[in-house]
Amino acid sequence: MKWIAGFMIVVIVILMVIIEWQKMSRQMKREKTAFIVLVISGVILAYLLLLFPDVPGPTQLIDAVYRPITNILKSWITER
Amino acid sequence: MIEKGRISASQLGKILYMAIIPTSLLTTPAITFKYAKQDLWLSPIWAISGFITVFIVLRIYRMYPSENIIQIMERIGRRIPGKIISGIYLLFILYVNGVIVREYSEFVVSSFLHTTPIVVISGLMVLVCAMAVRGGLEIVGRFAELFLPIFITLFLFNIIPIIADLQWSNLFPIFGEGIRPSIEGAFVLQTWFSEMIIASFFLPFVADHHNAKKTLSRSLLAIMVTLSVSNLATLLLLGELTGNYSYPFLILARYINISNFINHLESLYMIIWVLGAFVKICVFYYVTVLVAAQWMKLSNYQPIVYPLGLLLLLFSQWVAPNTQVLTEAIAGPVTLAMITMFVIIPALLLCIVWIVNRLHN
Amino acid sequence: MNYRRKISFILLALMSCSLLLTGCWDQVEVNDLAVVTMTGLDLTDENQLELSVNIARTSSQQPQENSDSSSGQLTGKSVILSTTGNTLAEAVSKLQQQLSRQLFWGHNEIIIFGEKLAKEGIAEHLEFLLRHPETRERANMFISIGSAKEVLSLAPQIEHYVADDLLEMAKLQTGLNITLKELMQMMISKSQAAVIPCLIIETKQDHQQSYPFIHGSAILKKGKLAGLVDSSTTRGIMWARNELDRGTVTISPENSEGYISFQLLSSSTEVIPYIHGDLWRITLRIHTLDDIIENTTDLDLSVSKHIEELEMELEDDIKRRINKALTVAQEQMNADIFQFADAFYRKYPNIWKQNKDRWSDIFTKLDVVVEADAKISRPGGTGKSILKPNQE
Repeated sequence: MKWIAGFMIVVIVILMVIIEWQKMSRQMKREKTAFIVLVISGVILAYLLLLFPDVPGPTQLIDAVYRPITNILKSWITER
Repeated sequence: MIEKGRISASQLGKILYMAIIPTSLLTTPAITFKYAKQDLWLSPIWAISGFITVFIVLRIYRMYPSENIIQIMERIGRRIPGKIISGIYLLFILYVNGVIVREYSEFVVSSFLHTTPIVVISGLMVLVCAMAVRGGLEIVGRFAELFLPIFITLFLFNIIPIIADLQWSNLFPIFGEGIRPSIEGAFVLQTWFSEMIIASFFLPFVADHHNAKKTLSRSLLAIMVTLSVSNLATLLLLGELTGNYSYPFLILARYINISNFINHLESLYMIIWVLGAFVKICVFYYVTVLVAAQWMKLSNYQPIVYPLGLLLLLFSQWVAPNTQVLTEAIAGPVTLAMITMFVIIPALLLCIVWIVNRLHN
Repeated sequence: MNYRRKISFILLALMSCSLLLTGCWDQVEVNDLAVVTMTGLDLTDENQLELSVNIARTSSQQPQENSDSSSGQLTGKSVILSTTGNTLAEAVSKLQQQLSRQLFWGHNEIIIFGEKLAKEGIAEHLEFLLRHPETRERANMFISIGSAKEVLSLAPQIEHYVADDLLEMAKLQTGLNITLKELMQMMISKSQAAVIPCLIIETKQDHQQSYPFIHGSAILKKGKLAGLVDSSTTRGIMWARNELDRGTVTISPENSEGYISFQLLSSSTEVIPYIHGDLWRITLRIHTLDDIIENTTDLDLSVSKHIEELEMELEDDIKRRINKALTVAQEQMNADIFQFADAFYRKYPNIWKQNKDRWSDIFTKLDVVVEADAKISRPGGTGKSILKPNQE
């Protein structure tokens, strides 16, 4: 199952590059760089999630940051 | 300027309404009921962060009519701190959008398409949204304008046939334990009200800007009323059961039965949900793309639509391992984060801008 | 011409959408579904849960209805299957193994609990039904005297399926009409007592097949069967719970021979709680509007004075019935099936909170005042009885 997903990621990326690349004119250097950077970060993240599905996500980060406030709030707000 | 399209103020109002209501309709009755019990229909009235956000957005708009909040942050924060702050905002909006996509797909999978992989459902939605966003601001605005009447009709069609089954006694006691439960229940709702901040990203492109104030307050009011009505209808039908269902509003659609003939109408709710989620995701997607393009100082945002879509899809998978974690996160840390990012920091920004302007004069 | 082409293009586009809307992995064809119309839950002698379902036979190879006229005409329309398991989910999965089609619960309109199972408690089995995304909150709930499986295996009387028969009976509201949602609400309410209609089977007589019908009701306390009540007490319960919509009331006036029957046109019940110190009181205020449908007495019903008297008699009858139901609930079962607890909570949330632990004591001693207000609107098609010319 994993290799299908890995393959699909490659297919999606190739399709994306084919569709978008020809639409960008030669002057749009900045756009091309931005495009490549985003695609590469996307691919890295995709394979990261594919190989290590339990990698801590942004929710854990936000949770950790707000942990103290959440605890205070919990003492104020009660489920009835 | 990066966006050449223009929208009207009334379109902005519709965009805001459609960008906030859909997901809140689905989950708020259950979450609010946990804290507010039978006062849950009063909770949407405590839309404090909504009022504050609208106030901030309008004030800043009056001072800098052609820039959005993040551009102003970048300007105030100078080069490097400004870039860092706006970068954080970019990631946060992407994250919020990821949560929205995930909520959409979780509902579809858990209630209708049980065996379809969630990535496929999210992926198809993101793809459709990407096409719309690539078309630009005007397309998003027109979608909101087109879908709003359908959305409201179906919403009413969900509520009106059920009126005969409503038990008004479920309403009482009003303020049984004072005013506090309803305020506590309103806490989670602040997530949705703080989303009013997206108005700031659309206001620079509004053609008839003198109507901005009116349209913002109107759509905030409409959102409050809609939430109140949907919460009320769920409460009156389900009573104490409201908190036990994950998606109480869906039960409303399922309970419809007109003379034994028109029933099993949950597909109606599915239409509402897909239409609403589509516009909502489009709006946040558009904001993400716009902010990203401005952050990287691009001349055109179209090339980065699809790559950001890929990231969005990945974020939607990344935000939570399962539904429970997602719901818990929304009820706690995510709400706090949204209040900080969309209400408190913009409020500070407004103060700073105000002081700076005073000093200059 | 151009316009017409546009229209046909749009239609074509819409139609092609339907090819895409089959739903990826969840694509299900109607002919792959086993539509469950009715579910029965029983407890076997080995203390296992027995699940019986009535599946509508939807395939095209239905037995010809008129080919064998001797046995039940329409029995061929459904299939009855049953399995056992420790939990409902287990029984369902076992059932699925016996079937060539996927079970579909979306049309499950009737859920019947066997009497024996109800005594052990039905709460845990409701859990599966509520969690399942396909089951209907509007499904009607029954308790059958005897086993539920037996009810399922009966032949329908008038409709195509037994489920339809029962559904229509419940809708007529001559007995209680309780849906899954209402049952759940009653069970998690402050009083934790529920009332469900009972089914009994009329046994086979001559040419008449045996068939089930609603008779009386069952009282559940905390999800367990506490007792059964008969039809006339059930009527009282329905008055008090404001669930009576239709029905015929027959009384015999004090000062004359014979009977007068009324048809109920509308009825509403107000529950008014009142707390004063230690006194907890419920006032039931009943307003009802009736028509006369039969008169075998000597009273001339075109005289307004008689109508007033009859209204009084009718009010007394209502009071008597409700008091009967109250006695059963308060003294025999001690089950607050009228949800008076919630009424108190709604009006006096704070006092309720302090006293909620001793509610069952309060309920047994609860002072219930019944105020009935009956109005007779029309005497029907005839004023004076045609057959009794010397009516006064």
